[in-house]
Amino acid sequence: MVLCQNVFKEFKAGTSFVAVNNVSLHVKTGEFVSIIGKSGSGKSTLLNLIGLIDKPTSGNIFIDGIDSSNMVESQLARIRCEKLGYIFQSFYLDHNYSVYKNVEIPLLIANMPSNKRRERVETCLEQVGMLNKLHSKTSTLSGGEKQRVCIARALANNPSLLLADEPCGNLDSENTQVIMEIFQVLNQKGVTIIMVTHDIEDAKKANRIITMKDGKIISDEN
Amino acid sequence: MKIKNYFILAVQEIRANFLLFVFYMTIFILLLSVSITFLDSALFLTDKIASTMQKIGTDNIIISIEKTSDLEQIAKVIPMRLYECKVKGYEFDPTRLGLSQNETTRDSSSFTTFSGGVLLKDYQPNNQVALFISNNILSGEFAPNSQNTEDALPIWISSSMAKAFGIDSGNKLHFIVSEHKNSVPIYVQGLFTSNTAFSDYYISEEIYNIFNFNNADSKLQITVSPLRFRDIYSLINMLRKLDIPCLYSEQTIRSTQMMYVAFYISTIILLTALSGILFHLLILYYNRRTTFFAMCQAIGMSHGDVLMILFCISEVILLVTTIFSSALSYFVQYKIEAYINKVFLFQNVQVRFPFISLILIIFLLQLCILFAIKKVSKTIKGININELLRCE
Repeated sequence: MVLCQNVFKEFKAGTSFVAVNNVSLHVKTGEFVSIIGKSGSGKSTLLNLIGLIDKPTSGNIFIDGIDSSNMVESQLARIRCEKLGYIFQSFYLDHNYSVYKNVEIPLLIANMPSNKRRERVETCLEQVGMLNKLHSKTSTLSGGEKQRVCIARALANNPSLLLADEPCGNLDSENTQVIMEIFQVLNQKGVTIIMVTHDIEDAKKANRIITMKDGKIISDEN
Repeated sequence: MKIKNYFILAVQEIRANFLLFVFYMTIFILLLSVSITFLDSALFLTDKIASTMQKIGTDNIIISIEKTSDLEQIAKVIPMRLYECKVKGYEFDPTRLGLSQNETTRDSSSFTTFSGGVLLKDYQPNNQVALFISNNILSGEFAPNSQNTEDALPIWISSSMAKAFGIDSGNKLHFIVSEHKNSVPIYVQGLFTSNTAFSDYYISEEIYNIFNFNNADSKLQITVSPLRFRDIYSLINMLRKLDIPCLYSEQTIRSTQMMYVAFYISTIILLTALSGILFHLLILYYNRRTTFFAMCQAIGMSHGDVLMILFCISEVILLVTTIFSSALSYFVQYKIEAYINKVFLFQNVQVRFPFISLILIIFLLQLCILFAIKKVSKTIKGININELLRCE
């Protein structure tokens, strides 16, 4: 599903900083992988590189066997749309839009016909138990509910790979439990998940734990 | 993404940022309506200024000709509008418009303010006199080409003059010019509303021909104005070549030309300002919605898609503002016309809907939008989604 070969990412803002240092990684289809590490260890940068929203300084990243290194911006956008689902720690839901409109955005990007869009939005919200909030404004939702809507939005285009960046970082333990259960159910249905977290308890819900330090993978355990 | 989906997102975004767009759209409507009005004035300046000047008595070009066929010749090359036509050296004053013998004789001194003109027979389409009389007939009719059965030639008289003489349509009279021994039997075919911009009565061309004013001082004096302002000097040159004497106000033409250029320059300045405002609106809006677009790009939108949404937002703004500003422009033009008519006591308010200006403005605004989008694209392409999301 995901293959990283000698991926290297360096940020140059005044002084040079290596965020990801020569990382090689292979995630198979159907795996649930947690990436843990301290703040600044490079785990979120690695996730962004896998999610094709950032480009590596060197090295290659393959998604479903497709090499992304020589792709132009529009080709990368197409892969992000068709194959990837992204869940953010800060949700990034638009407060001016209803729950329905937020989940509909990726479907509009993917050109899904209008008659199928509604059905698909409802299916995704049902999967995360948020169908009853279909027309609510996202500003009225709790943190856990917002994250569930964010997951529904990530699932909208039926992605084969779900990337979650600290999905429970802003949630209490009860909501964290709910979100992790949703991930486990999705993984059982065949969705590959890569989750970045700093919480070891959350990481243990995955079937593979990768630990990072100073931009390098220091352990990879099943 | 499909165009329809871009528009769905564009409309959603306008609704989500309603106050921002309403504020800018209001500025747009005001500037755009002024642009449309200016461009319309520049395009149809001859119509507006020339007709107003003519109405208030400031003649454009007065030509003196012996044969009306010369006029036809010029009109074939330069389309023009014809206003008054008088006989130089002769005022057909009412003392010589002899009443029938059974009518009361009037004191000639009380009629000196009345003046007459000649209605040219073959120059009908742009003949403002014919147009005025036919639109303002009060009684009788205006049928200059009709076969008369009365054995008399037609004449048309203003209501005020008819009242002063105590005559009505259908009355038989005698037309007398004292230098000539003969008199011509005439009948009043119609009465028209009095108007300071026109003579008080008009004789037909046949009456003029009967008297045969063949000396140099009694040529026909006709006021003309080219339909297109750019033809004004061509007309003057042509008249000179044909050795037809003409009178015109160089100063009036020059000031009209200055206004003509000023309107075009103002339109260009306003459109440049609109283009700048549009660019700043798009940048301001994009900066407000950076996170939203960064998220959209993270879930599959490309830079091109973001630009297309901005383009669709611009198009929606253009559509809404064009509708309102064209209505406002029409309203303003109507009010100005009505004010001029009120000041100069003109009868009808005639304002066209500014279609041609509107189409031209829309075309120019499309160029403005493309220019603004091109400038915005440089900003958007330089933005890193990852950095934007991390900043948040």
